[in-house]
Amino acid sequence: MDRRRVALWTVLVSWLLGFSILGQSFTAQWEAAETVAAGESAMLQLVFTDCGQVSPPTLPPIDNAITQYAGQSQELRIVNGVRSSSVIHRYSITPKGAGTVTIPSLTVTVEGQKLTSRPLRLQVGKGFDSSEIGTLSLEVPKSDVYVGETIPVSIRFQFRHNPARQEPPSLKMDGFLRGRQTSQEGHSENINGEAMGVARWTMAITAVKAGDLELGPAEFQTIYVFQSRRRRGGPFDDPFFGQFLGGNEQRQINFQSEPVRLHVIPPPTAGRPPQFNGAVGRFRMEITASPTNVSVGDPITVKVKVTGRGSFDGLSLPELPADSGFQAYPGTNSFEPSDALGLEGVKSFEQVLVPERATLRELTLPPLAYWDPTAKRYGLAEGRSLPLNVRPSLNAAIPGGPSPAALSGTNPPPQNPNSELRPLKPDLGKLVQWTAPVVTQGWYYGAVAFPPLAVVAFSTFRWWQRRPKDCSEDLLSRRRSEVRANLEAMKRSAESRQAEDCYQAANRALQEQLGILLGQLGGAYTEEIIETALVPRGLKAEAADSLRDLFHASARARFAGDPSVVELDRICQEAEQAVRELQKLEGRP
Amino acid sequence: MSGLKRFIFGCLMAFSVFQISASDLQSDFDQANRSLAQGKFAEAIRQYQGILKSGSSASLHNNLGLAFFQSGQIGPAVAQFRLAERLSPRDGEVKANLRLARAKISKSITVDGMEGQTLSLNEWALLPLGAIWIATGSWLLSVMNPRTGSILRGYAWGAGVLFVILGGLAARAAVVRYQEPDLVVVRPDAALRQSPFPEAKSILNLAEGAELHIENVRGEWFLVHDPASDRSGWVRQDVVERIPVR
Repeated sequence: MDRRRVALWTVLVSWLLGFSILGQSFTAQWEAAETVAAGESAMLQLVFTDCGQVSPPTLPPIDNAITQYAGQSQELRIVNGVRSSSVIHRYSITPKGAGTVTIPSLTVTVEGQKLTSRPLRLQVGKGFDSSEIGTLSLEVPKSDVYVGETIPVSIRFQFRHNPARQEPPSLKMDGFLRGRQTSQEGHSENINGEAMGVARWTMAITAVKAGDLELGPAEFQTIYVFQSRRRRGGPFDDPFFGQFLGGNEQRQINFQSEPVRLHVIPPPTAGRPPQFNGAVGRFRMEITASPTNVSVGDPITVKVKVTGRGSFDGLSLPELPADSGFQAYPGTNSFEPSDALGLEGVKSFEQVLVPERATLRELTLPPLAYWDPTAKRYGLAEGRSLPLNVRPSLNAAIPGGPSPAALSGTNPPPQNPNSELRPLKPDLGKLVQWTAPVVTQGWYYGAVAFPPLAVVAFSTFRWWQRRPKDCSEDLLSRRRSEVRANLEAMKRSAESRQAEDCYQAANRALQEQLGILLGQLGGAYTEEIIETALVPRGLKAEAADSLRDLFHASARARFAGDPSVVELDRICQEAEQAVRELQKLEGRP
Repeated sequence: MSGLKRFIFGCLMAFSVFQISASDLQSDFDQANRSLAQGKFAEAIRQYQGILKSGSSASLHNNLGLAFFQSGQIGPAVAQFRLAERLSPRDGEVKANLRLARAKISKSITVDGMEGQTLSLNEWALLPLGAIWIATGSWLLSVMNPRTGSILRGYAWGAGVLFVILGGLAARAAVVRYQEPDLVVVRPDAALRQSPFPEAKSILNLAEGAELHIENVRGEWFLVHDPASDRSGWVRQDVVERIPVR
C-alpha cells in the first residue's frame, strides 16, 4: 500500500471520528411561536443531536411560569447523505401572567462533554385574565393543629363559566396524610350580588409532623372552549359552521390557589397518661366478651367498639400488661364511618385472649388515652370490667397451655372438633428405629416363598419314597395286580354262574401267585408242586390239602357239568384262602 | 459361677439397663411435655429432638408436631405429624392434627394417600405371609394325619385363598404408599430451582408445609415434583424433611 493511500485512509477515518464528536449538539427552542397569550402554554424543546439516549434535564425554577415535563420523542434525519439522530425532550411552559418569560442558558453534560444552549424568551400577551373566569381557593378551618389531628380541608372553585373539561384538583401537602374525600360540583351561590358557580372538594387530612407547614397550593387544570377570533365577522361566523370549520378554540387554563400555613404542634407532654399511644380526638369505648365461663387455655373473643370523633386511621388499642394473666393474639379491626370524611364513626376491634390462670375473675382492658384538641386536654376512654369464671384446665396434658385453635388465627375457635388440635400424648411409647419396609427386604420374600417350596419338596420326597425301586419290583407289582384282578374276575364269574370262567380265573390266580412265590415267569404248575416246592417252604398241611383240592376241582370242571352254586362259592373261598397262604410263604427259602 | 448362671445374670443386667434407660426417656418426655404446656415452645422442641436421638415413636413425633404448630412453624409440624402417622396409622388424634396442620397451610392442598388406611405397609405385608404359613402348615398336618386330613385340607385351601386376596391388597397398599409425597417443606425460604446449585435460577417459591414427590437425588439436592403447581425442580435437602415409607 503506498503512502498516499495510507494518508488518505487516515484522513478519512479521522474525519469520520471528528464528525461523530463534533456533531454532538444541544439546542433549546420553542416548538411554535415565541409569543403566547396569558393563560396559554408554550412548548419548549430541548434537542440533543447525535448524543445518544439522554435523560430529561431538570429545568431550573423559572419566574412567572409553571413548567411541566411533557415527554420525549426521537428524530432521524438524512441530509445530503449525512445521517443524524436527535432526542427531543418537551416541556410545557405556562406563564402566570403577562410579560416576558425567560428560559436561561442551560448547560448539560453528555458523555463528559458540556453542552450549552442559548437563552430563550417568551413574550406573554395580556390575553385574558383567568380570574375573570374563576378563582381557586383553599379553605382550612383552623391554623393551629396537633400532630395526629384530622381536620377537613376544602378546595373551592368559584367560576363564572363552566369548564368544558377538568381534572380533579391536586393539593401539595408535605407533612400531612390525605384521608377520605368528597366533592360537590356545580351549585350556584350568590356572591356579592352576582350568581356564580361553586365547586368544592373536601378532604380529611391528618398532620403527621410538627412545625410550621405549608399546605398547598391547590392546582386545578381545566379546558375551556372559546369562539375563535379569526372567524369573527366572517361569512361563516355561526355556531353551526363553527363546529365544522373550526370556529371554536380549546384552551387549557390552570387555576392555582394561594398556599396556607399551618402551625402543627405535638400534644403536650404535661399530664400525658402512660397509656397514650397517639390517639387524637374524643372517644368512648365499649367492651364485650364471649364466652365468659371458660377453662384455663380456652380462648375468649373480646370485642371493643371505639366511637367518637377524631383520627381513626391510626387508632389502636393499648396492649395488655404482661402480668394480666391473659395471652393475647393479634386481632382484627374495622371502621364504620358515620360521615363522608370519616371524621366520626365506630372502630371495632376483635381479639382473642386466652386466660392462663384459674384465679382470674374479671377481664379489664387498659383505658384508651387520647388528646382532645378541642378541649385541649387528655381524656381516658374506659370500658367496664367484665366478670369471668375461669376454671382449671380440663386438658391435663397441657395444663395452662393455650388452646391451639386460638393460636391458628385471630378468629374465635370453631366448634367443629375436627378443627382443633388433639391433646399431648403423655406416654412416650416404644421407641423404634426407622428401617426400610419389609417389602423391600429379601428375607420377606424368602419367608413368603419358603412354605410353597417346602410343600413341593415334601411332595417330591414322598413320591420318591413310593416309587418302584427297580424293574423287578415293577414286574412283581404288576403280577400281584394280576393276581388280584383274576380273583375279582373269579368272583364275578361265580356270581353270574359261569363256572368255566370262574375256574379259569381261579386257576390263573393260583398259577400267577405260584409264579411269584417260586420266582418264575408264567408256568403251568400241577399239584406235584405242592410236595416238591411248597411243603418244603413251610406250607401247612391244611393249606396243602385245600390247594390240592383246588387243582382237582379245576381238573374236574373241564369234564363235569355245571357245578352248583354252593360249589362255586366254595371254590372261590378256597382260592382266596390259598392265595393268602401262598403269599405268606413269599420270602421264605 | 456356672456358665448358665453367668448367662442369666448378664440377661438380667441388660434388661435392668434397658428399663432404666426407658424410664429416663419417659422422664425426659414428661419434662418436654411440661415445657410445651408452659408455652416454652423452643425448649420443648429442643427436648423432644433430644429424645429423637434414641429412637422414634408416634407419641414423640405427635407432640413435637404440636410444639412446632404452636410456635407457628407449620411446615415442621406437618412433617412430624406425618411421621407419627407412619408409625401409628390407626391413631385418629394424629390424623386430626395432620388434617388441621394441612388446612392451616392451604385449603387447596390435597394429598393423595392412605389417610383412610388403618394398617402400615409392614402390617399389610405380614398378613399374606401369615396366611401362606397357615396354609402350608395345615396341608402338612393333613398329610401326616389322615384321620383329620379332610378338615385340615379345608383350612389349607381357605388359607391359600386368603393368601391370594391379602397379597393383592398388600400390593395395592404398597403402590398407594409409594405414591404418597416423600418430602415436606420445613423452611419458609424454600425455592424450587432449575438445577442443583445454590445460584441456579429459582422456578417457584415453595410454601412451607408443601408436600413433594422425590424423582431423583443428587448429593445434597432432591429433584422433586410439586403436585400443587405441577412443576418439577431441585430443592436442597436442608429445607425439606423426608418421610420414610413404613
